[in-house]
Amino acid sequence: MVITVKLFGNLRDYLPEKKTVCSAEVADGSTVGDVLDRFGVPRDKPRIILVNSHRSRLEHVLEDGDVVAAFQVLPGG
Amino acid sequence: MTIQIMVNEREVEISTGITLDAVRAAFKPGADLLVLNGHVGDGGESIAEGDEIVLLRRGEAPDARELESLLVARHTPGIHGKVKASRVGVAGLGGLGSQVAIAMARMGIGRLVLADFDVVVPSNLNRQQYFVDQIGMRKVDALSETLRRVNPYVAIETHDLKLAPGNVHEVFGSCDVLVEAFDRTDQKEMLIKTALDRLPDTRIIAASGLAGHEPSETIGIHRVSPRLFVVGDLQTEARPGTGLMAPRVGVAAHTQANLALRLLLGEEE
Repeated sequence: MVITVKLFGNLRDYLPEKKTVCSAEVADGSTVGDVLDRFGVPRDKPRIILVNSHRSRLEHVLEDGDVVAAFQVLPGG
Repeated sequence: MTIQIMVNEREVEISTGITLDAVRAAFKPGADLLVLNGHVGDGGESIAEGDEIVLLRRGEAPDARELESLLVARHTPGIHGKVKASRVGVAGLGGLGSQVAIAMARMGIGRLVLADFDVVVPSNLNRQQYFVDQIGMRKVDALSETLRRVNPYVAIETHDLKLAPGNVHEVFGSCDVLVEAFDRTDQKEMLIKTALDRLPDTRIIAASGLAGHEPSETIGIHRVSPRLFVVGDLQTEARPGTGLMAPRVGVAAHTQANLALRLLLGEEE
């Protein structure tokens, strides 16, 4: 199945050419965590994860066409 | 014969050939500060079509209607109605939140919902909108005091408490836009996650990556979903060696504030 991955800010470093958006073909039954592993993103970095604009978790099992978005929350305010 | 002029931001019709003193006598006899087209007048000036006059009594606060018309006169036309009907929540009243709240009050937001459990300490003054004589005050009280000096007619709702998953909906459930303005990551994460889960009708503007003095234009807006936006560079965290500086925190705060305005106006859908 094919999913879309959107990584923001410093997490873009893990996507090809440091793009924010990337498509990826993954095995059926893959989780959000599996997709992050595939791109080498440390699992503790993306503190906010959304799938199809809804909050999600590393254990969430993805479906074909899903859009995964994630970013790291940094201190300062 | 008559001409149209503006007096305290209201359009009025007067006879030709009259002076600034006559306008004062007609519209605000007690005024002791006469401003004609942006310059202080002495009263003897002749008034012409299209002149803009502000009549004030020194030390007297304008009433709600008068202040509103004076503030709105400097806004982009047509937006005030939507702004006045809107509610904005601010979670955390530090470098980001104190500045966002002031921007909201200056533009005449309908209701401001402010939450923080902290007190003003001297180190806050490097970037937060507090003053030396407010050290030791609860932040909600100190900021409310300042906001009332800016615009006494904005409805301000304060919550002197520590936000947690169990009270976010109670505090911010009525807000059109919620600004996440915390300093610590655990609080930021808690608020973003809870707001995503529990406030389905509220747009969230978070902040991440605004420390140091990198170029202003590196503070961006990241649209993570139609309801969640993140302001910052998502790179530069506050840590030993990289502090939080007033200018860049201010850029981030006002980027959040401007985004809030745009969302309220339906311009970022």
